Amino acid sequence: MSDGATLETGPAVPRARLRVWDAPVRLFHWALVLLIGAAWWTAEERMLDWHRLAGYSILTLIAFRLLWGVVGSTTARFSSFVRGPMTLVRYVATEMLDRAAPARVGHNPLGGWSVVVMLTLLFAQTLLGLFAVDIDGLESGPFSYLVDFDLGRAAAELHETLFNIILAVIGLHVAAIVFHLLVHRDDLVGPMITGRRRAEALGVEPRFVSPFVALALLGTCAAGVWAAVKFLGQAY
Amino acid sequence: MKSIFYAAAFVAATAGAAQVIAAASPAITGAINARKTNYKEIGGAFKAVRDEIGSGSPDFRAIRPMTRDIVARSASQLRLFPRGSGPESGLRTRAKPAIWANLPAFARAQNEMVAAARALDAAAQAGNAAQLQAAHTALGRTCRTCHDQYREEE
Repeated sequence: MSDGATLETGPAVPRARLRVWDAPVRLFHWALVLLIGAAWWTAEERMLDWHRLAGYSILTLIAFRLLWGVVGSTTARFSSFVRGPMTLVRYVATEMLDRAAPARVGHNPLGGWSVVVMLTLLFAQTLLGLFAVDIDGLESGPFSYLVDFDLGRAAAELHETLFNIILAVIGLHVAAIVFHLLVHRDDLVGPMITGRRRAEALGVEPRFVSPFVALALLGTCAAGVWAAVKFLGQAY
Repeated sequence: MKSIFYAAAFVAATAGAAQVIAAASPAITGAINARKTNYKEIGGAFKAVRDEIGSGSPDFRAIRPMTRDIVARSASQLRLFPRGSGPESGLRTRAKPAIWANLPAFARAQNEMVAAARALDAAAQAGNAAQLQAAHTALGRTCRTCHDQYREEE
């Protein structure tokens, strides 16, 4: 994809505020923050009805994000931010610690991979939850009827372990944001809220896909998850 | 002199090992293994009953042997908690010392499980789906009550 190449070498865009993240990406991000918190809290409080709802919502969001990563706006596309190992090594070795290095439009090579890792872990986490069986046999995932007790328990235990891994990765994610703020004097949180960043960033202005396309995709994903749980799963 | 030191060390090591072996006597080891097997089988049968209920049209001929098994296994559990079969045994068990701190309370909780298991089996024998579902939930609650107080968190 040509956008990917121009992101690295294009001229600085001469605008006061540069639009980098579209509304779907930002809403996805903050909805995910809230839902991960909700999923954790409802599990702690044993509100498993709500916990399952949080899980279905996260699964819907992840499915949407995967599709948006193919057909969405430039900075949302995997093809624009998933780079090969050499690019990654070069970024870490030369650019990451260089205070003089200009900021980038969209994800840098390391941030791009962190997106892939987080999406993969969260996707795996929701899938494990679908098959999990609790120790009291009172609460289970909607697809737990497809596995036996031991496998369902193993899924539940892995679900718990993976949550701790996800927490660690989220911690790393936040640490990276603090790193960019302190070392590069670059605020990454503001742009994830407003969609715009200060202009002295390397790259061309991204192309944005209509949010209505995103809405249609999200609706499709929600309907797909709902139908899978409703017609293939067992209610708990 | 050196050989005396080695001999003493050997004796100490043997005595230490004997302590560990003595702590986990065959009776204790057997009880822990038996109760764990029973709970796992109960859990498996309980889930299978639940899956039958969830299917919308429970197959009572498949359910009855399972509910009978739950009754038999739950009724044999209480005597599988002899003193010394807690974490102090050095064996893998999630049984908390709270069990032996107030054994009558634990016995009551176990007996509630047995009563709830009998109610589940009665519903299965009667072939009553609504009764089966209610009894299933009631039995699950006794699992939870006991786990909350007496089972170490994973």
